[in-house]
Formats: sequence, structure tokens, C-alpha cells
Amino acid sequence: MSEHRFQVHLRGIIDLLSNHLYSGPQVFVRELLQNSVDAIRARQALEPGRAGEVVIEVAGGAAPTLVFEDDGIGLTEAEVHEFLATIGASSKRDDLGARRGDFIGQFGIGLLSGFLVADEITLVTRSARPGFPAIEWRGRQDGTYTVKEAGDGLSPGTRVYLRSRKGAEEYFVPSRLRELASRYGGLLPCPIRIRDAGIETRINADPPPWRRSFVTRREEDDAYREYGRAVFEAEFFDWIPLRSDAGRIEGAAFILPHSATPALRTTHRVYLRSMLLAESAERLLPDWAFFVRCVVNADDLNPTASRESFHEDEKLDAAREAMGGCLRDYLVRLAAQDPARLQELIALHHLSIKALAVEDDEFFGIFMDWLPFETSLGEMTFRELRAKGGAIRYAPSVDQFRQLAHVAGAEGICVVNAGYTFDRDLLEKHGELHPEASVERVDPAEFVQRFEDLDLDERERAHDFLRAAEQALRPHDTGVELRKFRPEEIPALYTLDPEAGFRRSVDRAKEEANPLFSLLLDGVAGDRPSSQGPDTLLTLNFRNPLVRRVAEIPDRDLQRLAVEMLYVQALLLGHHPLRAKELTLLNAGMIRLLERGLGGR
Amino acid sequence: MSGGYKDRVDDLRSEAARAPEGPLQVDLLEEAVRVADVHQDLDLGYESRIELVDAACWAGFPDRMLVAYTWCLAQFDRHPGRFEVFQLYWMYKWILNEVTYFLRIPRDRIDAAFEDARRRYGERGFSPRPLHQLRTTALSFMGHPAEAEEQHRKWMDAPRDSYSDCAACELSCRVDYLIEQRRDEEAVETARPLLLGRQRCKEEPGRTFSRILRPLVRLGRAAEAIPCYLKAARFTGRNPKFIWAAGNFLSFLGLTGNLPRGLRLVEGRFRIALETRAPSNRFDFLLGLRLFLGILAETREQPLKLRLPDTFPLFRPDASYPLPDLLAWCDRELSDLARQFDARNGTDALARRVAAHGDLRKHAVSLPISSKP
Repeated sequence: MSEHRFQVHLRGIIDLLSNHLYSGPQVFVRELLQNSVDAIRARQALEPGRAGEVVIEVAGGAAPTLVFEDDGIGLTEAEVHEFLATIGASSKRDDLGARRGDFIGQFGIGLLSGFLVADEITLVTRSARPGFPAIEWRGRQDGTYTVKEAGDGLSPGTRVYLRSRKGAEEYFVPSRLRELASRYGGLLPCPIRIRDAGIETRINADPPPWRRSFVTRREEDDAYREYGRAVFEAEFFDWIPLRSDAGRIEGAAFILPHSATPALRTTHRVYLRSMLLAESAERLLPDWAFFVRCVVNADDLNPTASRESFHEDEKLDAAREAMGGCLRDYLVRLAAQDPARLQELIALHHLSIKALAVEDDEFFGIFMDWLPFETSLGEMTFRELRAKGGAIRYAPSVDQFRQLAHVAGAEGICVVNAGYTFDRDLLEKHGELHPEASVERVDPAEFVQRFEDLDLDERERAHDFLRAAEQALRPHDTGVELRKFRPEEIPALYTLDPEAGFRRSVDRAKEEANPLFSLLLDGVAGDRPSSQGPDTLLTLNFRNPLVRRVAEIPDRDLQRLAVEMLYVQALLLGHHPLRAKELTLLNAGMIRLLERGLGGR
Repeated sequence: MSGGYKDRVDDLRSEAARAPEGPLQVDLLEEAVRVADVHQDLDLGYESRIELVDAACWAGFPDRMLVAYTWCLAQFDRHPGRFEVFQLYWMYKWILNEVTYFLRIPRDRIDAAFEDARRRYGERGFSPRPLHQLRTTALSFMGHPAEAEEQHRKWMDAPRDSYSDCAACELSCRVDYLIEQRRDEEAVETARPLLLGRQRCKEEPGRTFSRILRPLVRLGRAAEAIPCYLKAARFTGRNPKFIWAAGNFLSFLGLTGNLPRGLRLVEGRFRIALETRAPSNRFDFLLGLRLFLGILAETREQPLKLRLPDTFPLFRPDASYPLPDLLAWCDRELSDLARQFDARNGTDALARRVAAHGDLRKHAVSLPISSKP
């Protein structure tokens, strides 16, 4: 027997493992399972057809002890020394990552993870290659270890004994261990058993559905749904098998039963060579695919040093594309085979489908017709929108849509609200892909130009009124037009372009601002292009009885007051917050009207 | 009706939360602000504006950000204790980061803004560290190296606290400062933890990958810059906030002879560069565009087919642009911007930057990028 000291400070390595590499102490279960599985695979390479198994046993006592036992390849004494040397050479996180590449390096790093919960680790191992004796290695947290021969009585394989560290007892309870072992090793092909009070239970009896074969489609469907339920504790809308040659990936995507958004990333459970890598991995799928959660196993992707996510590389990119392709194919098939079901899916996940349609021309061609849009005539699908014939008109922002939706609706004009995510891109794409289709952006000022003009007689009669109204609103940088539009209950429509909208918001901020910020705002507004003429417009509706009445008021002063009131009313009807001078106008105007009504004139 | 408008504000805000960063998100939140304001709902107006400040910052609309922030700060002062301090004072840094880059904010107002922030941070016992950091960058941009260095020293001396930028952002800011001073080797060395992916945050390492191209080219290490370019290009995407980075890419693609790839980038980003409300971002884009087109013009005499937006002053429906016209336009725009900035700053820093950028051409080296984009 020989007494040794680690060539590096063991505490340093343990600190590195626990504080910088792993998310928590529980990963020791994964690491030790990984070692066992690697050892079993290595032995299978020598002895094809061997099954192999792992048994985890909990032994109680003052300091509870855990035993991980496998009948894998085992280690020779030389290999034991080799792994110790390997670890000795790894002092940085990146080095550790690199050492995981080979069996012995991984073995050592995995074994030391036992110190996350144990103050003493004993390894008893015997190589399956003939002629090597069993070896016992005993390591302590203080950095010392012993190595000795352990006789010939043992069969090949490895046993690891962990003696609980104070404060880590929770990991030595059978129920906790069972939970951790099935979480990490639930997909491993070789049997993994927990032995507790002499009774063995297998924790990975059921392979995942993609590794099973089914007689009926119904049986398969049930199995996948049951699996999704077990993993994510949710009832899913449907499931989609995933497969990618890049990364050698198999698995399943489960369609969320509720609407999802791109901002909140959905997370996935991922396995690497059947060992759990992460329960909430992000960015596994293309950005548009935020309507599913997945469980996948990759046999050929690279993990990060911590083994808690995949390394971003070209292989992962290719795999992402391939899995996106699986989802896409599912949607395309659904569109062809079960349009009713597709509509249900679109009701939940049109955002995801819109996101893909923006990127993918062919997909766009299949799905655009099904997608819903908000319009001035109510919500409708693109197919319904197209069926109306003529140009497809859209307002590019929610603000501009709001300005004209009511009037457009009353005039029977269909205008799409393209102020929501992806809608504008989709409409413009339709225009690009179908040059014969006319897709027009309308802004409120342009829209007003569609209104009916006054006839010649009416123009004559209203001429003086229009001049007076223009004068009244000049101080407000607002032009006036007199037209005829529906609904006739609306006396006036206030429209402004985004630049004018920005100036309104600057004005309102300045009314509140402290002197410094007021000056800063001047600097910002000074950078803007100067406008030619008023870019805000009040369109008076000559169909409206009030407007007709005002037009005929002979008293110029009263007429001016009425126009000012129509202006403020149009602002309010259009949901534009009032600037201070408009509030003043409203208050002063009310008072003057009251005074007139009360006989003050 | 009162519940009605609150629901509408909520809908708009969640629609905005769902939208990717960009102009649409800003539009949605401005609409939410309007609805809240029409109903004179102070709290909803404030919350919506805080989200708007955030969205406008990340979408590259410093003007709309400033408008919303001004209102919030005024309400914050007017109603002591009603609104949370951390968010608002953190965002003050974003304002300071932008005021330097508006052409028409005079130097004394910029100084006054920094002074106001210093007072506010001081009153609450926050470390002035991030303010010195921002000032270093600002003064360095304006061409006041001695003052910048003094701020840099103060920045390094001030303690870190929860208002300080994250380690990755501070590091990136130092890299930027070193690049401005042409301390290229030091810049590349300092950037290492970012380039190796050891330090990261929302903006990093994408920002540093974009910035490190120029020093690497100047050091004759353009080959090392190729993977940086590929990573940066993916990171910055089409966000108007990062249109300056497209300028760096164009310089790089021109200098390394990747002309078709560069032209695709010109087409993809031109509209954003024309429309950006941040003149310094436009300047950076034009700087790269000028260099790129200049290199292109050396080997090509015929006009160039380019899909450019119809808002471009030289727009041609036949999409065929004579290179001399484009070069003249770039030169005019660049010298306009440089003149205005320099007049405001009282230096000739930007004019010198335009000249120095042309000198990069001596570092040209053919390095075709072969892998597919």
C-alpha cells in the first residue's frame, strides 16, 4: 500500500467543480452514471452482446454511504494512476472540458464529482482484461489518497463508495436518489437499478417512445402523449417526431396547448448519448419554433465543459435546421390532410407560423391563406382578404390603423392593421412574391384623399367657411379639408403622420420636463427634417349635420369657436392625448359657449 | 369604461412583449402610452413609458427614448416615492450614452446632463463609476483625449456597485477606448475574454466582435478577424441600434476583397442607415460604405446594379448606379456630418476620422470567405 498526495491541490479542483463547473451538487449522480455507462460500453466493444447493468445501493449508518456498481471494463492500476495524473494537469475549466474527451480523463473528473457530496471516496475496480488484479483507491477531501491491490476475488467492474459529507445527507436518501437517477439516466439503454433494503427496482424500464415500435397508430399516439405528460406535466395539443442526421438526433416535439411568444423562450429537455444534459435548454430549435417543447437525444453533438448545454457549433446549426424541417413538414402535412385541425393549431400558434412564413417562401405559399389578420372590417384570414378583390391595403402601425379604422370600416374599405408582429412583413412579402397583386400601404393622410369631394354648389357655399376654419387652426399647425365621408355621425377626422406624432409627443414631454431635459429635447427635435406645410390635417365631414350647421353660422367669432371645438373633439375621438394649449382651448371654449348660452352675448 | 382602456393598454404591452426588438415594438408601446395618457392614468403611463424607453433603446431610436424618459423623470421628481428608483436611474446611463451623439445638443448641455446625473447618483450614494465610464467614451468620441484620460482614471478608481455596467460591458468599453487611441495590440489583448466567450451579456461579445475587426486589420491579422466577422454578423442582425457595426463589416469586407458579400450587406442595411435617427450611427455606416465602394471602384467602371430604397436621394428605378455618383454622395454626407459634429465639439476629430479611415486601404489583403453565410 502506498500513501500519495495529489499533485495539485485537490480542494482547488473540488472548488472548481462545485463553484464554477456545475449547477449544483446533484450532478454527481449524472457523472457517476456516465462513468458506469462508458465502462459498460467499453466492455461491450470487447465482448459484443454483453448487456451490462448499473446498481446503486444506499447503505445507512452514522455516515450514510452510497455504492455505484457496474460490470463494465474496470481499470488497471496503471489506469488509476493515469486518471490521477490527468486531473493533476487540469487546473482550469477549459482544460477540464478538454479532458472529458477521453475515457480516462472523463472517468477521473466524473469520479471527483463525488466530492460534491462526500468527504471520502473509495473506488474498487478490476479490469476485464485478463491478468490484472483488483485495485482499491481511497481518496479524501484533504487531498490524500491511497492505492492498494484488493485481491483476486472480485469480478470485473467498478464499485464506487461515497461516504456522506456533513450537510449532504439529503443525497443519500433512497427516494431522492431514485429521482435523480431516473432524471439523469431515464433514457440509458442498460438497466439501472436502485437497491434499497435488499429490494431492487429498475428506474429506466420504459424506453422513450421513439425507441419503441407500435402496432397501431393509436397506441403510438397514446405513448407519446403519456411521455409528454410525464416529462412536462402538461397535456399537449399534439406531438411531432424529430430526427436529424446532423448530431444524430432523435426525439419528439410537443405542441404547447396555449399560445406562446417569441420573447419568452421555450425550453427543452436534452440528452447527450442518452444521458440527461439539460432540462431547460434554450435555442435548440430555429427562432420561429417557439410553439413546441422538445425532448431529444443527440448521439453526436458536443457538450459544453459543464455538460449542461450543447456547444454552439456548425453541427448544432445543421441539427437545428433539420429539426426545424421536421416541424415544418408536420405543418405542411397537416395543411394537406387535416385543415380543421390546422385551424385549431393556427388559433393557438399563428405567431410561430407567421414567423416561419416570413422566412420561408414555400411555406408562405402554403400557409398565408390560413393566417388571421385584424382589419377595419373585423378579423379575417388572408384568404378572405384576397377574396374581397382589389388592392390589399394596410396601415403600417397601430397608431395609423386607429386613426382610420373606424372611418374605413364605415366606408366599407378594408384596411389591415399591420402594426402587429410579422403582419407587415407578410403583407409586403405577398406583394413581392405576387407582383400582379397590389399591396398598398395607406397612411391616414393618403386615406383621406379617397373621401368624396363636395359638389360644385357645395364648394361655393362652403368656401368662406373653409377659409375661416383654416385661419382658426393655423396656430395649431393643422390644415383643414372639407370632404364627405362615413359615418356621418363623425364631424371631423384628425390625421397626422408619424413625424407630426413625434412632435406631439415631444410637446407633451416638454410640458412636464425639467429645464435641462427640455433643452435636451430641443436638441433632439432640431435633428429632424423640417416639414413642408402642416402635416396634421383636420378633415371636416360635410355629411355631418353639425358641420353643415357650423358652416352656416354668420357670426365669424362664434364660427371660429365652433371650429376650435371640432378640432379638440376630433383629437379626443381619435384618442390623441391633449397638449396643454389644446386643453386650454377646450376650457376657454366651453366657458365662452356657456357665456353665450347664458345670454352674455 | 375604465376597465376597457386598461385592458387595451395591457393588450398593447403584451403584444409589444411578444414582438421582436425593433420599430414595431416601439410603435406598440407608444400606442399604449397614448391610451394611458388619454385616460390620464399616471401609473400606467409611467409603466408603459419605462417599457418604451427600454424598447426604443434596444431598437435604436434614441430620440423616442429621450422623449419617454424625460416624461418619466419629471413624474419621478414630482411624485417622490411613487416610482422605483433603480430602473429609472439605470436608464439614465442610456440617455447619457446618447446625448453626445445628437448633432444639435450643444456641449454645455451634454455637460449639464452628466452633472445632473452625478448629483442624482451622489444624493443616493451610488458610485459615479458608470458616469465616468460613459464620459470617457463621449470625450474620446468628441476628440478631447486629455479630458477622456482623466475620466478614464476616475472610472478605474471608482468602486463598483449595482449601477455599474456588467463586467463584459465595461471591458468592451475599455476596448473601444483603446481602439479610439489606436492602441491596437492592447485592445486585442484586452478583448480576449470577450472574444473567447468567457464574458458575455446581452450586447457582448457581439459588439466587441464588430469593433475588433479594424485593429486586427491594422495589425496585419485580418485572417484572425474572419471568424470574428462571422460571429458578429450573426449577432447584430438587422437591428438599427447596431447599424454602425454594418459600417465596420463593410470596411472589413472591402479590405478583404469579399465584394459580393459586402454588396448584399449594403442592400440589406441601406434603408436602416438612411432612416436611423442617430447621426453618429449613420456616420459610422457611411464611413464603411465609402471605403467599401472606393475599393470596388478601383476595379470597376460600369454602373452597379443595387436594390436601394426609393427614399434614397439618388434612387434610380432601373437600379443602376454609377459608382462615382455613390462615392460623391457618401463624401458629401460624411463631410456634412463631420463638419456639424466637429463644430459642436470644437475639434476636428470626425474630419480626421474620415481621413484616417481612407488610410485603412493600405492594409487591404485578399481573404475570401468561403463557408456559406
